[in-house]
Amino acid sequence: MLDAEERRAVEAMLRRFAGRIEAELLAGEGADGDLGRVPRLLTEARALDLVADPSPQAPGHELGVWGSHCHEEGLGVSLLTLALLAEACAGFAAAVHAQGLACLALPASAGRAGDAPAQSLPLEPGMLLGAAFTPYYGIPLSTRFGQEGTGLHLVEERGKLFLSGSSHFLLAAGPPRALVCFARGPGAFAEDAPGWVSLAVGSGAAGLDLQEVGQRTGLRAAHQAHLRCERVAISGDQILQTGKAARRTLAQVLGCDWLGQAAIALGVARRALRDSRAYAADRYQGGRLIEGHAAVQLLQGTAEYDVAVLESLLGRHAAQPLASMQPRDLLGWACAARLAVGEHACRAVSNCLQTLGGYGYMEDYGLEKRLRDVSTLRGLHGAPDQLRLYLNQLRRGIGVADAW
Amino acid sequence: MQSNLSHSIQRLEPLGRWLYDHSVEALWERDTRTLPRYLRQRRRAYRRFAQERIAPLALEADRSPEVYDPRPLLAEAGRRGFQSELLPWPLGRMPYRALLDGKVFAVILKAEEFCAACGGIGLSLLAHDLGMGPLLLAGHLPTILRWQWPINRANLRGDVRLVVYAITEPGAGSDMEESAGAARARYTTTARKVNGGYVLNGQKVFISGGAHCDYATVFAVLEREDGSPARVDTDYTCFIVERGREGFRAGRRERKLGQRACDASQLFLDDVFVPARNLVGTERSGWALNRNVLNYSRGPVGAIALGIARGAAESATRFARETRLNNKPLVAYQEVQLALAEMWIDVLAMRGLVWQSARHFLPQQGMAAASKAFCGELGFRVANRAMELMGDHGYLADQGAEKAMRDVRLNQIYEGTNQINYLAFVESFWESDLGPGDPARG
Ligand SMILES: Cc1cc2nc3c(=O)[nH]c(=O)nc-3n(C[C@H](O)[C@H](O)[C@H](O)COP(=O)(O)OP(=O)(O)OC[C@H]3O[C@@H](n4cnc5c(N)ncnc54)[C@H](O)[C@@H]3O)c2cc1C
Repeated sequence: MLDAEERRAVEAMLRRFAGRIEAELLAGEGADGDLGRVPRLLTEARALDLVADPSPQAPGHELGVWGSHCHEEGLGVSLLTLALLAEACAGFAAAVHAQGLACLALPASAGRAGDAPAQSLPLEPGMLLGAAFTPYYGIPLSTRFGQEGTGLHLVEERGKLFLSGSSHFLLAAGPPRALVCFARGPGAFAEDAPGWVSLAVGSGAAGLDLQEVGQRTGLRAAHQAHLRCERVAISGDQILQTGKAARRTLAQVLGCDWLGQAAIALGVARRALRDSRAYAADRYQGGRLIEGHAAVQLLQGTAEYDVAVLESLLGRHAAQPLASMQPRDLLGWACAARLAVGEHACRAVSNCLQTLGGYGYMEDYGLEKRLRDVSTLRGLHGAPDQLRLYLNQLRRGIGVADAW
Repeated sequence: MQSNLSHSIQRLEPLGRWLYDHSVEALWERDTRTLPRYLRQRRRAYRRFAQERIAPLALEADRSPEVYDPRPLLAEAGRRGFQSELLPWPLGRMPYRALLDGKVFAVILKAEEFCAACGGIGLSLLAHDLGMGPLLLAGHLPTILRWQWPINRANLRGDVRLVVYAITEPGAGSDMEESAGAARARYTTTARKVNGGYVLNGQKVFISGGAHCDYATVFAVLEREDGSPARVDTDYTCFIVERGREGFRAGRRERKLGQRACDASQLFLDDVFVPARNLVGTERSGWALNRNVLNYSRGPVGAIALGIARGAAESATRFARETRLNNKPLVAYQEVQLALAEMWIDVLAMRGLVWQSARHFLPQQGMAAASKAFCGELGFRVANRAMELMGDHGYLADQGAEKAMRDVRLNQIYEGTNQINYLAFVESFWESDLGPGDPARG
């Protein structure tokens, strides 16, 4: 955890960098700015240790968003970083978030010289990774649509392992060079949990196909793809974790994914509110500055309340080390925070957009991009009703959740 | 229907059976059946046109609005009579029965159907009715015969004549739609009386269809002869300005969140001379004329939101029927059924209010504002619900729901923001229902 002074310093650094993102990415015309500049900005972010790195030699491995520090020091710094980056550009924050999740999916020993995965998949510093943990629809750890799963299966045929099936809506900082996949495994991997296995695979592997998802509403600075695998040969040294350990890591990845999304949404909402206040203090209608109209004050007041709800939800367990958090508690917290995106962050941004009248609807004022970005988070990696059902399942301690 | 219930119904007395509506009929048909014949026919014709001609263009027009050319569809809609429905035959194609019924009923049916297929293309067709509004509502027969009739005739031949409506200015948006603001509006568009006509100067913004228009009905503040300061609420005057008039040009086309197939453009007026015959109605009656145009147009704007919301609900339903999980269609899961029910009930509620307000013999300020604001709000809720139901698929462009969300968000802004429409509702029912005095005086 940061003390107050460290926190101020980190915030100041992040704000400076957020300013750079805006200047570089969003200065020109175009709905989402100049997306060609994202790789360069990622390199800069890496130099500031903001981006998680698969290589333990790189400082980002520990310090980046969802880096190894989370296990001991809690999630606060990652949440703070994502929210502040999102104040500039939610898509860029999502890219940093995605890289962090993929690194989090690697078990602590992965990538260290002499460890098994390093032999088949050298994890170089700065390498872009993707984590495949989301099914076509629903939540991988929920049993609402049958058994737990992502849509990926590891099968054993005559002593050889093959990865088949699909995982969808994989988020990454750019086209990933390697993937960490969560799959249901054959009996041999089911010793202590229902057959979960995680494995690393190069994205150029034979039989593996990554297809960009196509035009989407927002978060366009991040890369998103569907993964299809047809009998991708997997060797034993690509297996990262099995059974309960794999499932626990998946729970951490899923929880941090939802929390990170909520932090990004919080950043978007805060920024929208700032823009709205500035505009309302400058725009005359009805014979006065519009900030003087109750109608505008109500819109902004509701947005302020929405931001406060998100802040307090995200702050709830932010100081608790990830290593000491029960998956059930983490997922319950994360579910609630992610649900607040649709109800609170989206409303805040929409209300702020409304205070700009017709100008809010136009690209030039930035609010239209913020609405697109935050709306994309409404259903990212989990439809809200599925989250509600899953939250209820977790709280009631029934079914799969019971095992935790 | 549950088979035990069917059997039980069969055991009812004949009258009891007759009193029990257990027919299997789509929502759309069920509502259509409640309309008089002439409107039923129109509703079917609008839907056919929307499905055959608008829907196939929707995604591409949204993706690349700068290359979408609205004129072929304007010509086709014109030939079918859809662009001349504010006057009856021989002057236009308004159904005769509408003279005795609500005046905008056909227009709201059209708005729902067109916008269920695409909010943007729908708007690019419907903006014309708004632009034509002042020509009729000024109540000046020579204006109708000189302008409205020939424009209708041309459109019926497929010879496009697009008229757009221009009130909004950079410094005066809500102020052009609301009583208290109008008195203090910081306007820039003015008219000066000169020999044989008027000279117009100023700038309009966000004009739907402005980039492609053949005419604009432009509202300007007519300077006073004694030189005292003129005001929107006392000196507003409407003129029809033809494309090609010297000094009149379209400027920048805005890049916007949704309804992208229809441009929102600046219009510039630099010393534009218009002859006296271009005056719409009478001098200094423009504030009332503008307000009444809004009374006629806000119901249809509510119907635009209704149409977009219905499109979103249809997308979500299609997704839930086609997606199979664990050997069952998504729609078989209870939470999905509940979500669909919420969306469709919202759509029904919107239609209920839009139709109810359109049934009034003349469109009325409070009812029109209620339709517009309620549907803007609910339409956004439905589109978001559709996106949510579809999970990750909801934010993909080819699924339709995200476009609906972007499109319908506009309905809380144009034709007066929802806040301004709530105030219009209060103003409208202040004396009769809500309180004594004049709310405009604060
Ligand atoms: C895509 C699009 C298409 C359009 N098409 C047309 C068109 O074809 N023709 C045309 O003339 N115009 C058109 N408009 C303009 C539209 O009607 C205005 O944008 C709208 O009336 C709001 O005005 P504004 O944008 O200036 O916002 P503002 O008036 O600046 O409003 C800003 C905020 O202040 C609030 N506010 C303002 N005044 C008051 C008050 N007195 N009391 C309480 N709250 C207040 C508003 O509710 C809003 O939240 C279009 C706009 C858009 C976005």
